[in-house]
Amino acid sequence: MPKQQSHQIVVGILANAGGVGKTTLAVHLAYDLFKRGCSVALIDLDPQRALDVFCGLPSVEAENSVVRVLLKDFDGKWPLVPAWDTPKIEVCQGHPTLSQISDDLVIRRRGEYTLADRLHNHPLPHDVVILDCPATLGMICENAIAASTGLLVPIQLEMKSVSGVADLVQWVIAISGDLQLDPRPPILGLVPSLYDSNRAIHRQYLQQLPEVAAQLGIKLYPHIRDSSEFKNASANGLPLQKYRPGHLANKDFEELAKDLSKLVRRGK
Amino acid sequence: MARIPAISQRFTGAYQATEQAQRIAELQAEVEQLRAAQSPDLEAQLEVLREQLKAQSGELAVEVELIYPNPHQPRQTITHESIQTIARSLEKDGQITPLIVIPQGERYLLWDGQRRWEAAKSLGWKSLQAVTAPMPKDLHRKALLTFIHHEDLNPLDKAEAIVKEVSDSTGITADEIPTVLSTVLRRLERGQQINQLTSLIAVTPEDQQKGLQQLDISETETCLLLSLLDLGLNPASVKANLLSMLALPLDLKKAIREQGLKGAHALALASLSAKNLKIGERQATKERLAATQEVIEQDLTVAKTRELVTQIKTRYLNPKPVESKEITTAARGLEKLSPDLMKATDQEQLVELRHILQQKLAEIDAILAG
Repeated sequence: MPKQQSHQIVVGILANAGGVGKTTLAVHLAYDLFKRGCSVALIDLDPQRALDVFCGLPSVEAENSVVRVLLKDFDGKWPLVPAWDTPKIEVCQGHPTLSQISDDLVIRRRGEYTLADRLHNHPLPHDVVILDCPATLGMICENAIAASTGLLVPIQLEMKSVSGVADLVQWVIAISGDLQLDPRPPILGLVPSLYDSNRAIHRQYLQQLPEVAAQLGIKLYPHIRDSSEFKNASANGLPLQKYRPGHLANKDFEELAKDLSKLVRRGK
Repeated sequence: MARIPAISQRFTGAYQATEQAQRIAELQAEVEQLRAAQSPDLEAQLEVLREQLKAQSGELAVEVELIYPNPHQPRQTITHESIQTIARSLEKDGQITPLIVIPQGERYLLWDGQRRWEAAKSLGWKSLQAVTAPMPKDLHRKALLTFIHHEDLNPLDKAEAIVKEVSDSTGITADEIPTVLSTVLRRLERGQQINQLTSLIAVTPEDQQKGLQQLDISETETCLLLSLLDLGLNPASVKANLLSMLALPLDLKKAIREQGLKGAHALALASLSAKNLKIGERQATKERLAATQEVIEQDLTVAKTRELVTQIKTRYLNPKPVESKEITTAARGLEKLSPDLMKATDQEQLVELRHILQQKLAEIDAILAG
């Protein structure tokens, strides 16, 4: 019995600063979406391959990583491995040589559209594709934007990350224009991350964010609290939902996952 | 406790960019809506036509690849999003309305259904249902109506197309049209009836006819004016802006067609004629060609072009002697050459100076004598 028709969504997770919780967001979102009945592909576009750690996967050679997908002569066989013994969550792992590929893409025809072309010509069967992007805005992130149907931006409530997000929003608009993306991939949400209610600056900035988000016309999602359990979970290569199923922070991803799964059903 | 700087001001650039992008998206949507709203009659007419054709010959499946788009498609702005919407509906409900195509040999000219066709292509469909129509007799007129108010069309092509259409619909020959039009307009101008004529552009054909009857014009002239009004054109501006294009010399017509010279520039350059410059036809053409190239290469504005034309005309018509700074300076320099100075100078240099002076003297004598 075929289920209700669903449409794939491709979500790029972008941040213009390191260590603000991109991979944490990617992994936990993936797991929550899986719980909601979606199949998910996680693609690690970060040469630092943090996704390997979070998914408890041994690192792979370039030919079994996303590098293979981006090479000129890709044969259509996506290198995917299941995460956490869950066949419905699959990972296309990263590799340090991604940064070299990125240089190569600059001079390649349709270089900015390579990932989009791959996803179009060799579609993945998953309901949701999540792109974990590097912290530096460049060719790889441009590829992610061109391939995405929507973007998510984690924002740590500290000045470095906040400034990075301001630049990022402008950059995304400019790049979408340059690449003539029609429709432009919308920023589906700002996700305050690593929130520590004991810090005055976090509390103040969290208060100011709704106004900023409203002016940008971007939805503001509930914050994700900081917890050492996230670090413990990733050290064990597990998402928090699996490592500490009863942890309160697990709920922080619910609204976001719910919205994304709705997009899958609606086909947008 | 020290105050922490607020974050909102960091976002000024992002706010602006967001607003701009939003505005652009709104404008695009607006354009598309206007295009659709512009032709409600057309949509209704197409519906009737589609039904008639279906009854006549039935529907057939046409290979998507054999269809080629109508270059005169009135809907110029088609966004990707609207095609996606249609693609989704095609996918969900299948094709409900057949396309209208015109068989052209083995291929089909798409008359109606551009977005369905594009959507089908994006879905990878091999064929679409269509009804066929014969090539309309007035394809030229329909194409013309589509393009006539398009400012990008070059004025020469526009003028020729209008003359052709008016000639087809009235029987007045193409050669006569400019003369008939100028004559009637001049008469109306003298009788101060031009405004009365202009006010007829926006009224119904019946009122146009009635309005023309009240003017002092012949039957041929009425036909001509009606035909222009019917195309939504102002006869006075047709004469001023378009018919003058037809009278342009060949070299300027060629520059419009091949080098993208603009109409207003061409009109300015056209006054560099043999008659105006009081020189031979050949020399006039040469001057015009050189000026045209200058206008195109330096991308001169209309004002600058007119300036250039005036300069050239002045050169030919009243070559007024002008006081030359160079000559004043040279004369002063020569005066400064005192005998003492010359005595002290190397002879070879003096010989050379004498040579130059002699040559210049000869030239001056020749000019003064001529």
